Amino acid sequence: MFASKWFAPSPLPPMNRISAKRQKSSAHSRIKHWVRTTGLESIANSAFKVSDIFDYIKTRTARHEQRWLRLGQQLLTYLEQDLGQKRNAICQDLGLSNQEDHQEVYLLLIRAFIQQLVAHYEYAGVEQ
Amino acid sequence: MTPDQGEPTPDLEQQVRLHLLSDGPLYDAACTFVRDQQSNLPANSQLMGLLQAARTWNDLQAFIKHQLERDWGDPRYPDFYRALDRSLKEIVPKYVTMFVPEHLAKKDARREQDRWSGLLAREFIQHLYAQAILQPHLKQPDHDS
Repeated sequence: MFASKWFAPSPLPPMNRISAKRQKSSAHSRIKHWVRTTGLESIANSAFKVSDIFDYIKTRTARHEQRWLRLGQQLLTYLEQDLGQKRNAICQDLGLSNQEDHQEVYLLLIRAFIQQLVAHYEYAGVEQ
Repeated sequence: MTPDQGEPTPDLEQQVRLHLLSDGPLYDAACTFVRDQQSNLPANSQLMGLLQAARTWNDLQAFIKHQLERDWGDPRYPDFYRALDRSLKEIVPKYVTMFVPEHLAKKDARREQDRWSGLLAREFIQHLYAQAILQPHLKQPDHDS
């Protein structure tokens, strides 16, 4: 039982692994393309309202639904739910109860996240 | 979309208040409205028309009235515009009082009410538009995996 755990055959034969790597690279390149071409970073940096960023992602996703539906939905879910919860936790830690401060913290978090997203996929492109 | 050229620009405090309302209750209300009305959503060209009409409160009212009076031959669209009319008349007056000073003369108060109703409605419609053009695709199978 123990041995079979450590010496179990690789879950994918070599050719499949190569194919999986190619698929991953292709997904990276598509995401990089999406992030670049949508102008998401510039919208995030210039928006005064969080909802402007969400509306922008929604319209861009709907316009290219065949290719970007999953990515757009995942991004929206992350920004709306996960980052929304992080915003609440940060504001609680800092003792910020003002709605304006909440909005500002949320905008800063979204900008930082999108900046990291763009940097990550730029770097992933260099790695390929 | 740019505001009507004749409108005075809201001051900073008013803008902040409008942005907070837009990010909070107006965004939530627009998303809920679209989810509730997802089987009645008009075509994208109709939604674009609605977005364009949301430049002023009077234009928006006239657009909705016109859409309600049209002979659609399909009950879904009048249902959508009826629900939209109801929602706007419920949501907008709730917040417009936050922006209109109490001491104004009747005529000025009316003008300010229309102006702020337009600005609030525009925020609501922008969120509604974005959610409404995405909503039909959310049921489709995933093409990106």
